[in-house]
Amino acid sequence: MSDSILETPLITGNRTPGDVTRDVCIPLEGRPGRSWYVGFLIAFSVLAVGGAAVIYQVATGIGTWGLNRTVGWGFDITNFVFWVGIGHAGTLISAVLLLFRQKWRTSINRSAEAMTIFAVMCAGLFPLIHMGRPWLAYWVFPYPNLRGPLWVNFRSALLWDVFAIGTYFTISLTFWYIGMIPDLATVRDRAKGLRKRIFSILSLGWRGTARAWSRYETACVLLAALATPLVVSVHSVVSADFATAVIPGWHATLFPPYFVIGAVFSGFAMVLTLMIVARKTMHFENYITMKHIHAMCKVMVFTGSIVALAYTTEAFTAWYSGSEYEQFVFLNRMFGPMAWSYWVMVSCNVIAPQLLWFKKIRNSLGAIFVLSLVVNVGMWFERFVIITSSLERDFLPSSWSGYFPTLIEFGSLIFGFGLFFTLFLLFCRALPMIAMFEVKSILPERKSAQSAAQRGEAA
Amino acid sequence: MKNQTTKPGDGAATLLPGENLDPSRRAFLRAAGFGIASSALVGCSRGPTRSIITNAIAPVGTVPGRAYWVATTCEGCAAGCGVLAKCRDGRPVKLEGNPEHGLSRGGLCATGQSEVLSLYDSLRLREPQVDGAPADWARVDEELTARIAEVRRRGGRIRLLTGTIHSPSTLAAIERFAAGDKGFRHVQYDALSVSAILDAHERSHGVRALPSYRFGEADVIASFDADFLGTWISPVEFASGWAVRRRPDDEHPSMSLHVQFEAGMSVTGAAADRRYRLAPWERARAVAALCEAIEGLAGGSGRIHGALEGHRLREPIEELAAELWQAHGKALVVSGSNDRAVQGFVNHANELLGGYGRTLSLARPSLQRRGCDRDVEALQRELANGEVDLLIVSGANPAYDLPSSFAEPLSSAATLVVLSDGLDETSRMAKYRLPASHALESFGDGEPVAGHYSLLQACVPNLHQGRTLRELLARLMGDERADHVLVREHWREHIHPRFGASQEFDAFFGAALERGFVELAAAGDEPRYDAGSLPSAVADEPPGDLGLMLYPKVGLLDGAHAHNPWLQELPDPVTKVTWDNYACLSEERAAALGVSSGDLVRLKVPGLPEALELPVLVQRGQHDDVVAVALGYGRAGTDRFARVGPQWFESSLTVEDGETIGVNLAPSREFRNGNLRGDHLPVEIEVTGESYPLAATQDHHTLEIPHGLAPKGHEVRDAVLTTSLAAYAAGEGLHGEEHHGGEDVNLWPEDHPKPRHHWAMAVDLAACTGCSACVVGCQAENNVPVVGKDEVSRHREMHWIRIDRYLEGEGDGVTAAYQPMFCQQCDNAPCEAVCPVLATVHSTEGLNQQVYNRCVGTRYCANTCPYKVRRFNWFNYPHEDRLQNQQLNPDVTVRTRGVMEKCSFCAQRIQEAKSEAARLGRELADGDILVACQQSCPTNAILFGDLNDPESKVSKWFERRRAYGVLEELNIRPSVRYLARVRNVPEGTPSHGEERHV
Repeated sequence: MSDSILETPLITGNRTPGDVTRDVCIPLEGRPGRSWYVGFLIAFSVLAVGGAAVIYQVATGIGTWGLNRTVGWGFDITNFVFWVGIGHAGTLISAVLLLFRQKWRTSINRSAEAMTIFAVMCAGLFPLIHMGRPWLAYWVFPYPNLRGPLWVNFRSALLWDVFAIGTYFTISLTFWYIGMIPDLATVRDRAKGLRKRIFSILSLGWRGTARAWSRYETACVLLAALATPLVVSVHSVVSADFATAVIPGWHATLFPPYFVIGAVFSGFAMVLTLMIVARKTMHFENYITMKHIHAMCKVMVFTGSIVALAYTTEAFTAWYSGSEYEQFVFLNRMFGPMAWSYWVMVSCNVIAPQLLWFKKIRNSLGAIFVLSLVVNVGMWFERFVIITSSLERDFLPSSWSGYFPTLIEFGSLIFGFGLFFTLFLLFCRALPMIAMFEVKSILPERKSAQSAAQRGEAA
Repeated sequence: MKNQTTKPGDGAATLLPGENLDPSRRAFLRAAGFGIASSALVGCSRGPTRSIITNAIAPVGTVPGRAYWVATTCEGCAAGCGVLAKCRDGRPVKLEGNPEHGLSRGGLCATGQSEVLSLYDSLRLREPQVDGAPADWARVDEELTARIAEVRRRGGRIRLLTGTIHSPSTLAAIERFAAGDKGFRHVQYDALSVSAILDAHERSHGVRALPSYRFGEADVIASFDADFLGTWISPVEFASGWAVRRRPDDEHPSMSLHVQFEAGMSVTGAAADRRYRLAPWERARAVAALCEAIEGLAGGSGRIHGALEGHRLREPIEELAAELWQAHGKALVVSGSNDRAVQGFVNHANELLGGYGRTLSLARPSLQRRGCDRDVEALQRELANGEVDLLIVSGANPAYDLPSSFAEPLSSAATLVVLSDGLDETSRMAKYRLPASHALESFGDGEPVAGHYSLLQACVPNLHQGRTLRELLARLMGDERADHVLVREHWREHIHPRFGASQEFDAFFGAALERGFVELAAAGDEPRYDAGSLPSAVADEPPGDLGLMLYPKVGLLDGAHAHNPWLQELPDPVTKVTWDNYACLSEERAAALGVSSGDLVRLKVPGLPEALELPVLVQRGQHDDVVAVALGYGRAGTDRFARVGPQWFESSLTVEDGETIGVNLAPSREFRNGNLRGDHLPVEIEVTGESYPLAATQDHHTLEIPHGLAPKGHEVRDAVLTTSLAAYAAGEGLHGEEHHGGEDVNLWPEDHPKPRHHWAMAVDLAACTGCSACVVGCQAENNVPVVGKDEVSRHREMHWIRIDRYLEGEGDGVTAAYQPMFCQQCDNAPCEAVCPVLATVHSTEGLNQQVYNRCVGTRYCANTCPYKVRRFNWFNYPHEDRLQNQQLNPDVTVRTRGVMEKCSFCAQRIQEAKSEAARLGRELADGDILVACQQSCPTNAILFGDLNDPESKVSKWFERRRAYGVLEELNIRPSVRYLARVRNVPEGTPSHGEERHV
């Protein structure tokens, strides 16, 4: 896919390095536009409403959710897995594509990484609030204590989650921050007053010396190398929550790759959603070009096809296992009371992305935007289907049940989105959304020189 | 009646030396005496203290924190089961069956188990009320004595209306009260009347008596709508007898044959080998046809003609007749019908089959139901005519459960005196509303079966100002002796002599108190059968296109216990619905009406002033022409449970304020040929188009996978295995053993060594009737909260035992399999591996322990549990009622919200037994530990023990051919095994899915 990208410049509009700095820094320095305010108001309202629901639930009990003796997880863990998945694209873009020297990533990697951080923050909240006694959540950490000492259960996939998510968040945050230092210094240099003080601290005294750059590059590659295995490991571990349990529909060795590819799939969908909006509202058309969008569309159609293969494999394995319980879970998933959610999942994740094979669709931002939303919905449903349809009808028919989320549960769902978008919108205003120094490195050299000369003449 | 002048050595004086001293010292010594007595003979006295808080200074003789047991008798119904009350720090916390008791043999039903909660009901009447205003007993005694004297002076009528009383001392007190008063009559009635059985025996045998039934003696049992395993007369006693012959073992593969004819679905029908649907109005002819068929086999001149010819069930009846006849002398026919014609034929059948003296006995009649419907009808006429001057009601709630024609004139009775817990409808109408003592706070006695005397002891001093009927009558006669003295004196004078003079009275009485009962060995002769007594009427016309049948439900029975939240939340064994009654309709009838479960219909019954709205429940196995509605609902004041569950903004009330739980249809019953009938009522059904949520704990009612979702060849799950007696006797194992017996497949080395004990449980599904006694027993033992209807409908019931009920068969032959399901304490427990904080761990004795303190509530363990037996505390469940909290078992934590819980195999009992063995310096013996469910089980279907001991009973059960583990193929190695059901049917009988395992 990179061939086609390399043929034409990644950045259009004949931008000079100075233009880049100006374009990226302007949103940080001026007053936000109306669309930002509208967006922020919506996001923050959603966060507030969702937050109220979460506070009510923590104060009252898990009973305010629609869970029951048979279905012990619903929206909570669905949201958790969904947000972890969203985070994956960021790491993939920034780390893996860095190692593979995919230059097209430079325009989007900053926001993709920010998305990762915020998504992992959202993800981390759900295991916390899903606990019956969240005030004791620190017990999941193996810290020295006076209770025996009581230790954690290293056999529990939920504990591996703690480590996996913790590591992921730490590395992602470090990588993102380190990657931002030169740009922070640029902002510092343009800023005055308090902003200058703040960005001085944040940029850690970056002076842009050759030695600093040299060490900086090394550090980035090292961190990328560290982050790369996380792309695979985090969601593999998350999938182990299910794969290590005996519940049919969960107990499958396919889960780690299936979850990882699903995560990348949903992550790219989310990046697309965000980028299409940001590009428009922040006037980044020259940086996030159709080329980028096409590249991401191709990743989506590729990963979406692997997801489709995973669905098929999963069903085949159930049939081939000869286990009546496994077979039943899949029949029940497809044709039982929750079948609608399964077919929503299939339509969104398998059928819809196939439209991206068509160039016409790939050229239509509106269509891509809708498709990216559809894929996100589908991937949310994938987790929902896996969790609830496996639990609702397992071994003993006497305990079969259903699952009907409560309003409070919908509150927790929108809480995640509210938090995510609030943070992302704040990020758009506070930090350089595009990695300026990296974009500058891939500017089409000659043209930008010309345009600089032209501009000089004009001046 | 002598006035009280106590001599030394008289009355309770030897027990309580303070009886004859001056009042202040007496009061003091009573209090001290309570302490002394509690260690040996608890509760022979009433301490003056009204405190219900655990004593800061314990009474002498009690060891704080150490349980002691008091032998007493259950008064949950009139069956009179023997009970051991477990008391802690001066208060009863749990009731258990008395294993030595000759009738109940250690079992105790759900109703009995729940009695301990009723004791602590904070809404019980605490003091007497006159005209609705609080009064003291002195005033009540004075006014009533004057009123009685006045009525008697002018020859007026005093009536005493009670439920069945078989307490000899109370009956003696009534006799004394009645002495010399020609206008007095004592009317007994049973809300669940079997008066027709007594009436029929009066006609056929010349004695108005209820025979005692010996189900354990019967090879063939034919039951016509007698729910003897669930609700009929004395279910614990009957179930325990029935089960003796229903559990074949490897050495003796034989069992009795049980055939049930019934209109609705009952636990008894579910357990039957063959079950046929029979409408109540078809019973007389069916029993007559059975008699005719038996007469045909007996030869000689038959007395019955034309009943068999053309009968819808001719073939099965003839088959049954042949089987009964073959089991001559070991056959038993019973019917729950309150129709004298049916019972007349039943008597005839039993006589033909040589049952009297063997499988049922009139020589030693049962006194568990003594009600006489004719007397009630007569009283109703008297009341209607305003002829009653004083009506005393005790142990009955006629305003609720008798026809409205009775209840209406009740309020006009010149003076109505009601001695009750004050929660009943009748006492609300009374001028004198008097608090009755609860059975656990009073002394008393009983004689459930002639010659079987049992004693009641107070486990706690009167919590309020209650009195027993005996005490009330004594006071009204000016007898000031304490209640227990009255009982003791009666025993000294009347009961002791019957046991011969070989033993001093004090020793005799002491032994009886300790044991809880005494039994007379001798029985008289069976009365002669009068062959001319046979009823003539055979046919009973159906009441219409559709007939209404009112039936008692396990637990709630006649509704006397409707104020007990345990029973309200107990899933009905048949329907699994809680907190409501409903109109049961057959699948065909529901389809014809176009309704399904949860649709609201309007029932028009002539006996009721207005139509009642009830939700429909579609019940497989129900007769097409019968709509069945449970009695015991619609009790006034049950809206107290509106907020019994957690309250949050999306929750709904268990019952609307001002409404009742369920609907009461009892007033629609009628006196028909002198008997109270609730099974032959015309009814019209109107579909309202509205719906009403029913809270059931089980949504999927069979082991069959829903149509279209079943993998080929796996249409039926095999959680419950059933075999036929024929196959079992032929030595066949359970089919599917290949995949069920996945024993030593373990790649992982054994990392849970169990050097000393390996606790395990075995459940005999052949003996389990689904009666749910264990559910309430477990609830009482383990402080399981009541969560209310809304939570149950959200599938968040908290019971640690779930009795899975799987219906089988179609049409006439519907039966059900019951499977008590609780934590299986797996050796390879899936839950243990997944908990991130090690809140559920494996003990060195094979227990899967739940550590509440450590649990953070991820619910991962519950998700991964294949049996779905874990229960999560979704909320902080209400524990504000401090009086009710007195019932809580101090040995078991009350769990907070956010914590997972589940069956612990009664870890506290294991610990207690181990400590006791250690204290006595001996090894723990098999049977030392009885877990709560095991203890309560009337059929001993549950067995607990140590697998490390190869000689233990549970080890032996594990090795039986019938033993299997549920989901054993997952290699989680459950510590519970089930013994497959056995049905006494020919090999390869079709119609039941599970037969494929044979």
